[in-house]
Amino acid sequence: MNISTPSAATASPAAKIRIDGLSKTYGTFTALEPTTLDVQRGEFLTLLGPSGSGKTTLLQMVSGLTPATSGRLSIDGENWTDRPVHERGMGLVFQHYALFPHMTVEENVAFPLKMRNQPADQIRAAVAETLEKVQLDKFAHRFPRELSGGQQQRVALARCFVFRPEIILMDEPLGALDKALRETMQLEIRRLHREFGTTLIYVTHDQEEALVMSDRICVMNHAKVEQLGTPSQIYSDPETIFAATFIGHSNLLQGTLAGTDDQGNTLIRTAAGTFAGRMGARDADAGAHALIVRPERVSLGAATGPGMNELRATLRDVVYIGSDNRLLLDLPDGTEFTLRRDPGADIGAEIGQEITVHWPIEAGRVVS
Amino acid sequence: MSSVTSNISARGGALSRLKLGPLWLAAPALAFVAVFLLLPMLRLIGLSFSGEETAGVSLEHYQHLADTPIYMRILWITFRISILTAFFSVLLGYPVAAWLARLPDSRRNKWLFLVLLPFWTSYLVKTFAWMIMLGDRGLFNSILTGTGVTDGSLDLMYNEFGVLVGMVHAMMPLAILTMVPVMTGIDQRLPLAAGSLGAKRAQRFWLIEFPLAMPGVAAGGLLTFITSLGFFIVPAYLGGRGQTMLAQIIIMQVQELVNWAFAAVLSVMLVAAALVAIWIYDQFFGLSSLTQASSTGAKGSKTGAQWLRGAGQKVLAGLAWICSPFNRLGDRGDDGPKPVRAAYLGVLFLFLLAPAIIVLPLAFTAEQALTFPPPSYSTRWFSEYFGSQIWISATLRSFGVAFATAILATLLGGMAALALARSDSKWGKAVFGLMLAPMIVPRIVIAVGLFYLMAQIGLVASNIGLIIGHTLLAIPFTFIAIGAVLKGYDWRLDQAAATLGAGRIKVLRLITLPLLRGGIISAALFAFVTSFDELTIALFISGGLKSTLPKQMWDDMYLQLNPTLAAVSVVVLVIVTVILLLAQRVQKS
Repeated sequence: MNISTPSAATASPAAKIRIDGLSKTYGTFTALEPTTLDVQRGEFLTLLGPSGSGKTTLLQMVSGLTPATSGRLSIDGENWTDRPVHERGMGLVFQHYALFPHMTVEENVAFPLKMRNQPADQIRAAVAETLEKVQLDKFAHRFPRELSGGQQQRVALARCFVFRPEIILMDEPLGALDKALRETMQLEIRRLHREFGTTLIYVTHDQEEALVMSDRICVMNHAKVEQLGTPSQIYSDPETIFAATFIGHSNLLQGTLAGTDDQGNTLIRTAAGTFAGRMGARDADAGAHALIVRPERVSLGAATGPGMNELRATLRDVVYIGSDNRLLLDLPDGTEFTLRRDPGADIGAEIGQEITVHWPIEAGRVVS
Repeated sequence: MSSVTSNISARGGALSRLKLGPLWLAAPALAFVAVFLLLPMLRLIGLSFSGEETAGVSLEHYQHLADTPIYMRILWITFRISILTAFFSVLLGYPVAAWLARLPDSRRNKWLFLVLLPFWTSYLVKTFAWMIMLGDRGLFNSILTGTGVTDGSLDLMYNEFGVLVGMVHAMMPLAILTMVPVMTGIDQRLPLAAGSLGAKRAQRFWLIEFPLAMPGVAAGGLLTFITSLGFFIVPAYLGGRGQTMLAQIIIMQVQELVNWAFAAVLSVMLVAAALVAIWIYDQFFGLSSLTQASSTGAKGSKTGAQWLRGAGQKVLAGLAWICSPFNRLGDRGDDGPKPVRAAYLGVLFLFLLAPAIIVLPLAFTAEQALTFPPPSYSTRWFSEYFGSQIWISATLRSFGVAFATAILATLLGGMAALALARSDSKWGKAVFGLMLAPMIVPRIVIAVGLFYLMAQIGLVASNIGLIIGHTLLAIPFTFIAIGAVLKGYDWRLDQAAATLGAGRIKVLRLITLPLLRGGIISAALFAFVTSFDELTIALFISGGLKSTLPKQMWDDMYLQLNPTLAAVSVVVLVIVTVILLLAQRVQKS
């Protein structure tokens, strides 16, 4: 049997959301420098950064709540820069949920459907179905203030998913919940996203949350994008010192560039010695650089062959953190250096002794 | 030693059995309200059921009321004017309140001052100014005929229009001040959220903003309605025969006809009307929302009227649909075209401040007549005022009485507020209601009841009688003002001081009172203004050589409008402004 492929699927997938040089300034204060970014249809993109990094500003400009100072926003190739909020049909989930306090759970969830003048019986069916999906069908007639934080959050999600928006924007939606509940809700949002196939932009300052949930992460700092990539790219190949330190734990050896070795690896001269590493995509210019090594890539003992970096340092402490032991080392210049060890494994050294560690060259990355 | 401890524990046992705890602190205020409000009220009720000859219960005075068409007409007029006043005050004040609520705190407080000023300005000053503006040859008519818009002068006062202008002007600040806290409590992101869910301008307003502001709107309507019921100054000066209101008749019955029983009947009617209005409000919103700036909307628990909620939502949805043609107005942002809003706000603030603006130049006229603008200026009317034994003694008396009232009311109201803040007794609600009672019972009724009581204990035309009456009126204000600062007070500071070795009195003197000082001083200032401006009680209890300043103005206005009144008005305005500015400064620090 011959299965023909629909032509639309063979065409290269156009971006669902195209952010083209959007920026925002308030007087002399820059909330967001011109930013360009594509979000693919059905993608889960997280804007990750500390407060003041511009992530919420970017989200608000996509939602239409904040007008852009310059740039252009296209949805499905159409210019939406000046379209009013209520005509965008995007689903928004706010940090403190913004549930209507004078309406029941049911009325809150029905609200977007009523605004779209859907027939009453359809509304009832859709609301019941959505409430069931978020396990709130028993609370339909309660008012928001009669619910717990997690339940209120689920109402906000239901109110957003019920009208099947093609684009959903979430601004730190789990910020007010405790850790255990946050982890449950992360999985819940992922499930809903997959089930409805929406394009989702998610704002958070929690790097763990970003790693767990996203298809791609956009790391932001100081009103601009630091790095854009999949969680594993961001984690294993950070392009900037900020990206490396903001996500996961990193060893950071600061120094200056010292040319390349015969393998084409970049050499960096630090207080603890000269090391080889891979050059980040962005950096060719001279100046202050750093070698980034993730703790789990570092092993105890001397280098076992070529293609390795080696380092001597003093063992300051061994910290047990459950899944593994964390070894804290002091470099001669006072820099801290850590590595992970299986808790059962023997360290073979006492605290205060000098030990040797090594890591493969390709595990180190030179960034600025 | 042991006898002392056992003594204390015995007393503690008695207290806990009664379950009152710190509520005892409210006892002085409660006793005060009971003796000077509840007791006179009960006696009025008793009086209204007394017979001419027989000693038993009789309905003859009520029969007389029902049988006399003129009284039924006056009841109807009183209701009509009060309802219209409440309606227009809320309607016209709503946009102002909504605008104020969205301002940043510091700017809001500045603008709120322009609402507070007319709120605290004496009704007499306001009415005096409106008479000058609305009169036959008043400001408006000279503008209208001068510019040729009309041939003859229009009848702007001594009719319902005049009364409504004066009453709405008097009541709108109250409506605005009641609505603003509720509106500020509304989460600003809710309309945004509604917008993102597809709601257009009209739907955002009618389905989200308005229902959330509803408790404030209703509270504003309720308070203006109840206050309007007992009005007599405005209808007496700006109304004609057809606008005579109940309070005027009560005054006439007491002062001219000395028909106490019938005055009691009319008073009972007034109180009953106020209570019915409050009961209706309570059914929908719950009384607690009167004092708490909560924006939780219609009470979820009181859903005995679930269908009513549904009906209400249908009405709002209908309104949203009707208003949908105006959706384009607000698409690009906030509140419709800015020039329209600015013009409206400008006109409204001008309206609110008009009396102050008019009175000021008039006080400096060199003429005998009150023509505006004055042809030439002088300070002769101020000399007249400062040279007059009558005016100066009235002013000094008002100052003295207001000062005593401020201290007494702050003490009583403050202790009651402290009691309520520290107690979780089930009696708290009842205490709360009693403390607010002097604000809810129409003033004219309080005054008549007090007059009756004072006449029997010989306190009529005495300063003590006045201080008692004014303290009664000021207690709700001090109670609310101090209660508000107590709400934000961190009681752990007291505990911390205690663990550091401070005894109860020291904690109070060194920790609690200094931290609450701003609230206490502003409460005292409000109590001062309440007394300084007060006419109703003074009308009955002061008199002759013992007049207060408002009483003296009332008597003078009755005889003839003269520029001395304008000078006195300016003096009153300046004093009130200074006190309000002080209060605002104190609250800030």
